[in-house]
Amino acid sequence: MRRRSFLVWLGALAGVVVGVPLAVRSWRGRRALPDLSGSAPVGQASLIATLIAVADVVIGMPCEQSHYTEFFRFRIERVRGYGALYARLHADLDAAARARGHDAFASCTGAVRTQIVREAARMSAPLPDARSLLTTPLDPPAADAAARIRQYERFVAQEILCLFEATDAWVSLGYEAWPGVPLGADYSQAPTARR
Amino acid sequence: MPSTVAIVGSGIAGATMAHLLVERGHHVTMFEAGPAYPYPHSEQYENEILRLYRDPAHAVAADLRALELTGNATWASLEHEPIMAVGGMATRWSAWTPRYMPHDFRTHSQLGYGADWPLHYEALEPYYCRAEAHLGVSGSDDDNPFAPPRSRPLPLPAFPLSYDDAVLAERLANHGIRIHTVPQARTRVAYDGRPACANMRVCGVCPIGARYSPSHHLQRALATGRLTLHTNAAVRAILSGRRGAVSAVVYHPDNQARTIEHPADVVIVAAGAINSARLLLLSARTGGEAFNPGGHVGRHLMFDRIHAWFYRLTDRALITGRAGPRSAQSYQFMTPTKALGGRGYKLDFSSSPVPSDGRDSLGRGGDSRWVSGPAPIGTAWRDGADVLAARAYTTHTRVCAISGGTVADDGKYVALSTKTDRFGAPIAHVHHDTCAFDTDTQSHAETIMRRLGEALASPEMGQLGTGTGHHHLGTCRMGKSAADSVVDQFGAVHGFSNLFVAGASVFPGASAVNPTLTLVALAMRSADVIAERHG
Repeated sequence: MRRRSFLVWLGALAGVVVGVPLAVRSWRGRRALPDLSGSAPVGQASLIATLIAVADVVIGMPCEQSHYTEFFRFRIERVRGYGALYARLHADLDAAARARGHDAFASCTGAVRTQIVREAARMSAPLPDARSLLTTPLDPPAADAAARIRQYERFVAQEILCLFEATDAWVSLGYEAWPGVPLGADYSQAPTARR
Repeated sequence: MPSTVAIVGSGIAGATMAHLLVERGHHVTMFEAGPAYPYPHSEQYENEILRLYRDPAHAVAADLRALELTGNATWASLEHEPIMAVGGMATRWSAWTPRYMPHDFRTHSQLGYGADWPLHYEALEPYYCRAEAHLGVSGSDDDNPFAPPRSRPLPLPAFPLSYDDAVLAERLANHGIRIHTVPQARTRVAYDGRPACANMRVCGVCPIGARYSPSHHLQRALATGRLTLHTNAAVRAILSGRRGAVSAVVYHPDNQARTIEHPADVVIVAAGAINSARLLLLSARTGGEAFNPGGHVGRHLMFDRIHAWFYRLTDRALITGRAGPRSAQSYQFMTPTKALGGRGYKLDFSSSPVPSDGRDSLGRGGDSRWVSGPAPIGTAWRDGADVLAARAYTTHTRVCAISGGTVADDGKYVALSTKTDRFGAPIAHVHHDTCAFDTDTQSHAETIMRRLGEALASPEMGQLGTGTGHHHLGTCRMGKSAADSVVDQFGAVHGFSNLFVAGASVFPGASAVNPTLTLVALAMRSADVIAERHG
């Protein structure tokens, strides 16, 4: 699944689901996510299951899940605004899944999730390239679909990929483990078996 | 009766002196403008590496770190280089701890540039040994025939060259270039209550304390009950007392508007080169020019100039980043030669795939989180495959940095700005222009780096950028008198008996060598003098 497809897909979702107005502001300039008021209205386990499913789609290759779970849990519990943002994404995704005859996005098989995305992509108008989205300030606050997509893109999809870059990507490139995993002082003297 | 000591700044210089002075019975009060910072740094590691999150509770307010930057060679990152939190910049460092070379103390008389120091290498050598023991330095000079003389071996065994280093060493040796292991404040074996390095490769926020942090000794000093640490306590001024002496510091508790006057028998300013100069200049506004001997405070600013290059090896896979942020160096070019402008150059081989603040010729950005923690997301990845494609070069790329030192110049200084902080006090104005010496050094450095590329048979190489290494020096330089300097060879401000400056701000010159071990050795020497004179 390419990044543009994900954006298009989220754009289609945002266009069909009525959401709470957003208080969006620029993420550039090191400002935190705005307070979207209130904690997640759905159970945390359900929310994280959806986010893990999203991570699976965004990354597009198999990954170990536990550190993504911890990552999402930390943000829900400790970083202002994330609980509400994740909950809105969860609601949008489930609504899209139900519209296609499924109970929830997270309970769909990977193939179905991908199918949902592809169908949504065909329904949607093209969106700007992800890179231009990330250089576009998000002020002023807006409740329209484009603003929601940008917020999902920045605060969900790109953060998932940054975590992937910091962890699983190292292993995929041939490293035995990602930085932070203790390997023992003598490890570096030998050629790696994965080389 | 032991004196009371006030130390402004809790970085490696201040922490070292606090530890030594409380050991000798002094009562020390330390003022840190920033917040507390947990140690060992496991919380920072988990937040920054695994959660991509920098806790705002660990950072000083923006207005208290603000700088006015001008000149053709200042970097926006300068404002963030001083880590204003308990432990200071050495809570987040690579922990390389080489010694200055003997000629670094005599550049003017021996090499015709810069300023001579008021002390020789030989006078500092015993303190180098003590500093190495204090920091728990692992290393050996056995493989470095160019290393400066030493009277004692390093306290911990060396980290051997990594597999990747050995690949490079073999190729470079064929072209007459030798590389060596690196002395570093990272524990090869358990030492002084710190565990042995587990090779987690996130030295910038070492979660277990294997890489030295000043907080290690601050915690010990606090445990004696003779160190009081005030956090979020910006010091506004130093007050004069009887003739030739200071009497107190004035600080803002909890960084609020009200001030408290804290009396002390001895005051040590150890707030980094920029903020130490600022504090003396602020003090001079109310206390007179005695706080600015000879008008030298703030002049002679130097930033180390470290030029990073990348080399791509297509015929041999390298898996960089496997052994911590640094693993090899070369002193091959440290002996000054006429052909290279009469100055020495040090090569550092990074085991990070890319430097913390560099970008290669293709615009591939550095991954700074291993040293500096997460930055705002600036790269828009498309998916996991996009990430892998962007980082695939790490398995064939090696980064090497070169530095040749720098000199003070009229175009490099710290002054007071017309802008103010929340208390109405002027912030620091940092002006830094590249001088002819710097341009010349960079040109010679390029010659060396191209030779390196040829030796490595690198089909692709190029310069990534120039950084300071977060090494700020010289604004309160030491010398023989107020005619040429701010402090004497022991760090005492000319004209005062009980006011001292510690840290790299007292350096008269900037070597090709990392400054931290030297500044710790000087701080230990100053602590000895304070204990002797004010015990």
